[in-house]
Parts: sequence; C-alpha cells; structure tokens
Amino acid sequence: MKKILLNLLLITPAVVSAGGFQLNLQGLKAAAMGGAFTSLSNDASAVFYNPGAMSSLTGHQFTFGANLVDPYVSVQTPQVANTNQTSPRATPIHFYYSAQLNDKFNVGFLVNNQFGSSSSYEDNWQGRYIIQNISLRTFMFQPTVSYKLHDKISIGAGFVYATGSFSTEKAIPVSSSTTTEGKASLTGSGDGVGYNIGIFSNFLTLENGSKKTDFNLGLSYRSAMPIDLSNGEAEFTDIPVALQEQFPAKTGFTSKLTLPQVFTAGLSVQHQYNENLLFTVIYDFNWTGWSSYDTLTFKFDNKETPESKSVKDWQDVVTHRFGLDITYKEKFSIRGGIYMDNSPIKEGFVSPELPDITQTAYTGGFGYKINEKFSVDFSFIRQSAERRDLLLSANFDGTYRRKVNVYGLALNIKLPGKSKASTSTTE
Amino acid sequence: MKFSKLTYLSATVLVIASCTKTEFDPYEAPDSGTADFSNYVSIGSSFTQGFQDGGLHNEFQQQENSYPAIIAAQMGVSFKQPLVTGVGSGYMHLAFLNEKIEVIKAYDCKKNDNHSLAIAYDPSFLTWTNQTTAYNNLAIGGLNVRNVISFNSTDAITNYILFGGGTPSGQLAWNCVAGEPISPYGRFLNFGSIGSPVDYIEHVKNSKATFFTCWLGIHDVMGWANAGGDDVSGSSILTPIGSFRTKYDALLDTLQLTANGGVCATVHDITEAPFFNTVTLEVLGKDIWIKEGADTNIIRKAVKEDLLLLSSSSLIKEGKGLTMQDPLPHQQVLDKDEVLIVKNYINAINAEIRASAQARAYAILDMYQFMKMVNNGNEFSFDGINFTTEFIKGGFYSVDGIHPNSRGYAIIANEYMEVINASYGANLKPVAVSNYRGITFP
Repeated sequence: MKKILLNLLLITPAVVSAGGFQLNLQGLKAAAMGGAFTSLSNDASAVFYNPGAMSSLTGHQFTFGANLVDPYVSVQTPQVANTNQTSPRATPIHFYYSAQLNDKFNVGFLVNNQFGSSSSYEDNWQGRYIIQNISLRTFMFQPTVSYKLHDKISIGAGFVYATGSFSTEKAIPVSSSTTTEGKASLTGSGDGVGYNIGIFSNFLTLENGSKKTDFNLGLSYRSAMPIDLSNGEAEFTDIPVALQEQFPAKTGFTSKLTLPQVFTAGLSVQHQYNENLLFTVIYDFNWTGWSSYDTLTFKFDNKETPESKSVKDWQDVVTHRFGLDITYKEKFSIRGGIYMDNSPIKEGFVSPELPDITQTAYTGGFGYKINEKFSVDFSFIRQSAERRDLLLSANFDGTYRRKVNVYGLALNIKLPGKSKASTSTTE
Repeated sequence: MKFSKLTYLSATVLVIASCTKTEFDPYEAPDSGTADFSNYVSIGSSFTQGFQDGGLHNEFQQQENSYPAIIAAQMGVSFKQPLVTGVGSGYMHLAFLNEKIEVIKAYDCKKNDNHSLAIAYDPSFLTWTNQTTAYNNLAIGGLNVRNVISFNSTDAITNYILFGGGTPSGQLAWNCVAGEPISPYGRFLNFGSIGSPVDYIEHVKNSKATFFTCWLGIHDVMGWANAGGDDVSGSSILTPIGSFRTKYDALLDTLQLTANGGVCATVHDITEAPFFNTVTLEVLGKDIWIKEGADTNIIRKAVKEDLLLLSSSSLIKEGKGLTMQDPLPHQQVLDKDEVLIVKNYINAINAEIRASAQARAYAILDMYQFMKMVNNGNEFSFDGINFTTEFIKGGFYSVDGIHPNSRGYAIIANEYMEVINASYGANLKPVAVSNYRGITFP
C-alpha cells in the first residue's frame, strides 16, 4: 500500500482549474455524467463522493484513475492582441478502496487531488508583474467508515488529511543599469485536516414485472480545510543593490489558504427497462463555499519586505450537475452529462493568475466490464468559455478564452469479500 | 472500407485539434479615421522631447521612447527624432552611498562643487544632430509659447540666443562656452544667425505636418515656478496671457496650413509634482525659515502651504533655513502666494489653449485633469505595476521629480491616443506600460 502511494506521489499533479481551483475529476463515472455521483454507489469513488454510499459496495473494491487535463488559454488585452498561456498539461490522479467488513460496516481509503491550479506565461509577457507562473497542488488522504443504519439508509464519515504545495513567480518592476526587472519566486507547502460525511438512501423501489425503478438520495458535506504554509521560501533575484534590503536574495514567508467547504445533495433514478437495459439519470446540487478565499497574504520574515496582500473576495457558488447512463447487459455503458458551473470570481477580480469563467460544460464517457473482477471507465470533459474583466487592483483589462479537454481513464477491481463467518478485526 | 475508416479518423483528429484553438486574431492595422497620420509632427517642450532625470539621454531608449514616438509607432508611421547618444546632455542619477540612495545632480559648468559622480554631457552632444534632416519631433527642452514666434527684433534675437547660439557671455551658455546657445536642446534646428534669426514657427511651417500634437505652455510657467517664483533677470517670466494667446493662435494657424487634425494638450498643475512636494515640513519635522519673494525682504517660518523645492533638500542638510538669520533663499521656496499665482496662471493659459484649439476644431487633451488623477496621492496601476507620486519610488516620475520616466510617458501616450481615437475615429491601440522602464536604481 505504501509503495503504491509513493508511486502515486511521483506523478505530477499540477492541475488546471475548474470552478475556482476545485477539480471535479474524482471519479470517471461521475466525470462522464456532469460530475454527479452523490446519490450513486456503484464504484469505490463513493468514498469521496458520499461516504454514506460506501455501504452498498460489496467485497473489496479498488479504483485507480487518472486524468489528462489539456488546457488552452489565450488572453487578449487592449494593448496586445493575443498571449497564449504556456500552462503544462496536468495529470490529477485518484485512488479509492472500499472493503465490506460485515453487513453493517464498510471501511475505505482514498488518495486524490481535490484542488489544484496552474497558470504559466512566457516570462516577458505583458502581465508579468501580476503573474508569470503559479501552481497549487493538493493531496488528500481519507480513511473512511460507513454504517448501514437500515436497509434503506446508510451513513459514512471520513477524516481528511490534506497536504498542499504552492509556488509562484512574478516580475518586480525595478531596474538598474544592468537589469531590466527583478523577480520574486515563492514556494511553500503545508498541511491541514478536515472531514467528509455523507448519507445515502435508496428510499424507494418500484417493481413492475421485469421492470424495476430505484430512487436514491445522497447528501454529502466536505469541510473546509485551512492549509498553513508556515515554512515558505521567497527568493528575489535581479534586484538593484539599493533595494536589496527590501528584497533580499532569500527570506522566509508564511501564508494561509483555506480550501472551501463543499455541500452536495443528489438524486438519482435507476430504471431497469428490461433484462438488457439499465437507465440511470442523476442530478447533483453542488454548493462550494469559496468565500473562504477572501485574501491571499504573504508575510515575509524580513521586516523590510512589504507584506503582499491581494484581495480575492471570492463568492460561494452553486453548480448544477446532470448525468445519464445507459448500460447494456451490465457490460457496456455509455454516459453523458452537463454541468452549469458558476465562477466564484466577482467582476473586477478576474486575474490572469486563474481566469475562471462561468460556463456550461459537456461530458461523456464509456464503461466496459471486462469480467467480474475488472472494469474500465473512460471519460471526457469539454470546457469552452470566454470572459472579459478588468482586474481592478492591477488595472489589467483581459479577455480570456479558455478551452480545456480532460481525458480520464480508470480501472476498477472488484474482489469478492470473505464469508460473513470470518470477520476481520485487523482493519 | 478501410479508406473510409481512415477518413473518419482523420476527420475526428482534425475536429479535436481545431477545438483547442483559443488564439485571438491579430489587431487590424492602424487606421487614421478622418485624420492623416502620414506626416505626424510633435510640438512641445522637454516633456515632448523625451527629457527625463533633468536631461536628454538615451542609454536605455529614454529619448527614443518619448511619448510622441510611442504614438507614432502605434500609428505605424515613420517618426524621426533628433536622438542623442548615451548619456546625451548629462543628467541627474541615483547612487547608493553609505547604504542610502542619494540623488547625484548633473554636472553643471557654472558650479565648482560638482559631485565626483556627476554625469556631464557626452562629447557627441556638441555635434548632436544634422540640421538638414526633417525631424518629426520638433519639441525643444525649455520651449515657451513666447519663443515660438517673434513680433519684433528684440524677441527674435532673444530666441536666437536661447536656442541658436552666439551667447555673448560664456557664463550664460549651457556649457559655459561663449558662442553656444543658452539651451542646447534646440540645436537640431537651424535658427539662422544673430543678424538674420529664424523663428521656431518657420520650422513648424516647413514640416508640412498632416497631423500634430502640441503640449506647450508648461515652460511659460515652470521657469518661474522652479525658480521659486523668480523671473531670473527676465529669462523666466510668466508669459503675459495676451501674448501667450496671440502666439499660440499663430502656431495653430501655421499648423492649420497643412494639418487637418491635431491634439492640443492643456498644462498640468506643476505644483503637484514631487519636485514641490518631497521636502515638506512634515518630513523634515522642524521649523524652516524662508525668505518670501524676489521683491520682498520678509523672512518668516514656512507654513505647510509653502512649497519647498526638491533642490532645497541639500541646502537644508547644510544648515540653511534653520535659523531666522540664515533663511532659505526665496528661489528655493514657492511660497503660498506664489503657489496661487502659478495655479491661477495655469488655469488662465489653459482657457486660452482650449479656446484657440476649439476655434480651429482641433482636439483637446485635458492633461490638467489627467495629471490630477496621477498626483492626487492615491495609488493607481497599469499592468500590475502600482504607481504613486512618491519621489523616486513612486514609479511615474523620473529622478528630477518634474518629468515622467519612460513608464509615465507611455501612460501619457495612451491618453493622447484615446483622444485621437475619440476625435478622429482612429483605432490606435494603447501600449503596454509594462514594456517601458521606470527609474534606474543603483
């Protein structure tokens, strides 16, 4: 297990924003269905989407998934017709595990990248005094337990340990006879804790001969997670000698970033039309408490370095997620979805650092069950949007055009559980 | 069958590839609208010539990036400037001495206590330009509206000595060499000879400008103000309003012969520049004694409405102004009454500039209002660079505390282009302020 985690950590998780810098790529069935999954329980990603739904998972179930995020972002200003971001592709990953202990209890574990963002520009671009490069990556680790209260209702809870690392670079507008501008490079990391709780209910089943319809409800709440960047390192280069007291070659800094709380309520209907066809429609109402991101402040250990404080003033947002799944003979699935994503960034605050845009995005995907043990999912997300805003604090008037393709591939493994008689106590 | 599969595959690949195109189209070529930019000529003083740090210099394209040159580049037209080489006229700069930033004044031939680091003019500055070249930037450092045209021979000779040469006393010449002009900044134009002087307006006429910008009038008040309200034996008088209007009219009439479009800029409130607002009683934290004016002997304690010039800082360090017996000389103080005179004078000439331009249907750039925004004490930004009016660190002004630095001039160029677009239906794009330099720190 440890080895798997270490290997996962080696994968570059610098990732691209979607709905602020939250990554809604945590399960590929969900990703293919507009990101909705809170009221479903058919793979181990329930550990993340709704710990309550984990109770429905039998035996040992594993999911290994990865996404390739392929972003294209261009900026237009009144001065410069076009600047392309040079942001790298990103590969956020997820790993889920659920084990059924007995009729009542399941335990699970997850590792994933729930938040992340990365924007890069050529060093000499017009907005270099605002941003040259910025990257945030997070890893979440969540041991989870679920309990079946009743045939129809189960609950679950997980403790979340999160680590975050952050780096940013920008130019400083000071020149000397030998330099044209200075540069600030900040890197830091930190960690924090939170929790993830959920309730799942298969509250109604209608049967009519071979036809069967299930109605499911899911509620989940993931707490905010304050990440303290307590050991940041700032480097200032190409600073004129006269200003080096203010911008020393090296100094420490501290900062704090609060990852937002997320509440989701979902409803799904699964309709077994006949022996061969199963239809699923799903809706998630998703609320993200982005108002936690109100200011980003860097306090430097060097007294002469001015505190850097930028007001973000993000707002809480609601996302509506709709998805559809048609499964044939329990073997082939085709999925589609749509989500209306609201940007948490108010007018006057959109920065080239993270040009987030309110948009409707489309999703799709396939599932294929190879045998009783193995199945694979493929998902695709398409984002395409444009937004113009004047970043008031910098007086930077940008029109951002953003197209993102996200390709996801996951492997699900299902191993039968031990018989009820031999209950495990080691978990 | 195989072929069609391949076709579908390549079609799919094409569709996906085109789905990742986010580039914006290039901006369309500059369009002059109803104006004709083919021969753009700029008229003005030091601010227009590309002056900063108390001199005309070009080691980091300071003069090359004069605001009219920036405008011309956006117009897409060729624009010849009388460019100096390297340190040019010499200028004031910053040095880091004893862990402190110090302003080192430019080398001055009239002084014998020049700092060892003072920058003198480059030898090439003596043979700086070719007077047969038709320049587009006709701005001359120190040019007053009253020097544009002469209505009598005394004026003509005064103007000749100012810019042309033949200064009788070496002490008055810019480099203390007899025969040189008082100001070296106009030597790219032929001002004739002392016997038959040529007026500046002749060069304006000969330029056959199809479009112009004109930012004149600053020096008609700045000479007096920067001397603490002293006319320095008549060389820095406040140009009489009547004469100002007549000569401004004459200038625009001449331009109107060939230019169907142009922008006249008003004069900003020069008393708001760091030059007048850096050495303050608040900063000094002590009483300062001043001599009031040129024609009074009143000595009193300065009040906060009196503006101590930037140059008084070194005198105060030497102990001047600390006692009633040794007050700051009046040339180092724009006292509160003189401040009012300057402000009222600027309002008066601005009314004349507006009226003169309006009468000829030329556009007006309200630099007075714009510079109020710059100087109002609040931080403002362009491209993520924050500006204040703090001396040296503020980012807009150069080391002299009077002239903008290259970033400041870029901001000014953008203001001009906004007016040109609005008045003539042109489509000039503003420049990115971040592409220009600020002050050079040691």
